[in-house]
Amino acid sequence: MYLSLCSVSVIGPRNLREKNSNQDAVMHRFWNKNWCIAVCDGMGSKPLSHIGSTLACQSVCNVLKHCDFSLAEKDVAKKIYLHWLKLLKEKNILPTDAATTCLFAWGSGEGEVRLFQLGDGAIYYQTESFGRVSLKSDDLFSNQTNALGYSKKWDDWAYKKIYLTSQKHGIVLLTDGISDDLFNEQLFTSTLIQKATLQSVRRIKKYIQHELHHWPTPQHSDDKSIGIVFWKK
Amino acid sequence: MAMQQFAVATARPLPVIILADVSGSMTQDNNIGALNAALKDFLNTLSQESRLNAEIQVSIITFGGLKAEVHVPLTPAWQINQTNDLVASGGTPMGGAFELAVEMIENKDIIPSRAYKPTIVLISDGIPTDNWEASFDKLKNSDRAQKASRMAMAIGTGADKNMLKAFVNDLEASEVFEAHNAKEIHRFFRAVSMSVSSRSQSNTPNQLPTVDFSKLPDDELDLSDF
Repeated sequence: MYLSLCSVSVIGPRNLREKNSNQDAVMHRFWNKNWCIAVCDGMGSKPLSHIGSTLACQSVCNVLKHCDFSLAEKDVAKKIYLHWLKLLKEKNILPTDAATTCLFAWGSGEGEVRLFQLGDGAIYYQTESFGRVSLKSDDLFSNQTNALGYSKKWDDWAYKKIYLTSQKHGIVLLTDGISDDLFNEQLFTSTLIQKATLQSVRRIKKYIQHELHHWPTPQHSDDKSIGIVFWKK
Repeated sequence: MAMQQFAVATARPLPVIILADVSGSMTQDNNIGALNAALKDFLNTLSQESRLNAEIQVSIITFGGLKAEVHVPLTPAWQINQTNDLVASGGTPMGGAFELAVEMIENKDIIPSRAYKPTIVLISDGIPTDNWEASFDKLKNSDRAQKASRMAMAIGTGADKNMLKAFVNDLEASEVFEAHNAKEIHRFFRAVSMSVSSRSQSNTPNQLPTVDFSKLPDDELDLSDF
């Protein structure tokens, strides 16, 4: 058995209509032992958020490639944040103009996974039990979020460590364009993981793209992005 | 099972809650008649919105007589065909209206977390006659209701303008609109419907566009010189 990753991002009807770029970004990488997958959602109100989300994904991958897997979670988040700020500075972009959420999973070859979340969206995991990294405060309404570019506190991040040890285990990372429109998240997660396990990565990617392009929630408008971590035989 | 089977079948709501004064004094100069006409026009305008990015939902809470009550529960604007005319009588139990608004906003079955932040529009021509301060504090401080945008219109000269000023919290519409006749009541509702409509179509439905009450158009087609 080996771990597999798949990430898909689809532009939403609103950005398509207004001829804007997809403000979400996704990225995943494998190295010798470790891997990571990132899903970032640039804040719609910010002019360069599409760059912010892409650079956030890059920052996650660049930093984690050279990072000790045992580094404290707070230091991991800080390193990535600083790297993102550095990339923005090189492009002369203000952080507030490129604000973005940042969700990522960082795993070892042994099945240990560290999950990080700043801002809206959701990370669901199916291990021996079902869970999510952070429960969005019910006191917030849609599109009120924390983000790189605004948040300056570790307290704004949610963090969890899990273990993927069986073929039924997996992780789903979602931007709020999907997570806000979901019900029965547990069944959604296990169904998707099971489907991914049984198909080639290329095929599951195509399937997800199709599903997101034909999203049935009325008046849905957001970009939609998803990252999946799953075992393959 | 397809992914799409897990997608909710309802649009993200954009709630608008009208708190309407129906105290006895609203019969003066037939302000209640003007309010009824303006509300009908308001609902009609919103019901025809394209609903590009959100579904505008409207509730009307009235306060008059001895208590406040929900005249129209939170309903998608396009589904509101007809409403009974508001009838003016008795005192101004505004605090009761605040209580009902808080109850509505805090109830996640009525306004789910995936909704855009609500707008509360307060319309009054008089001084509250109940214990409104405690209820207003609740509105300002309760977990979710405090995040709502608040706009206000004072009708006539008898309205408690200081109270209405304290009510308004939205930086983009920070003035209390003052209406002295039916035409101005109508203009206020036109401004609110323009603001709500543009939110429902914007990239950032949580942000209220700037509402400059001093530059409101009278009517879309002014044929008075015809």
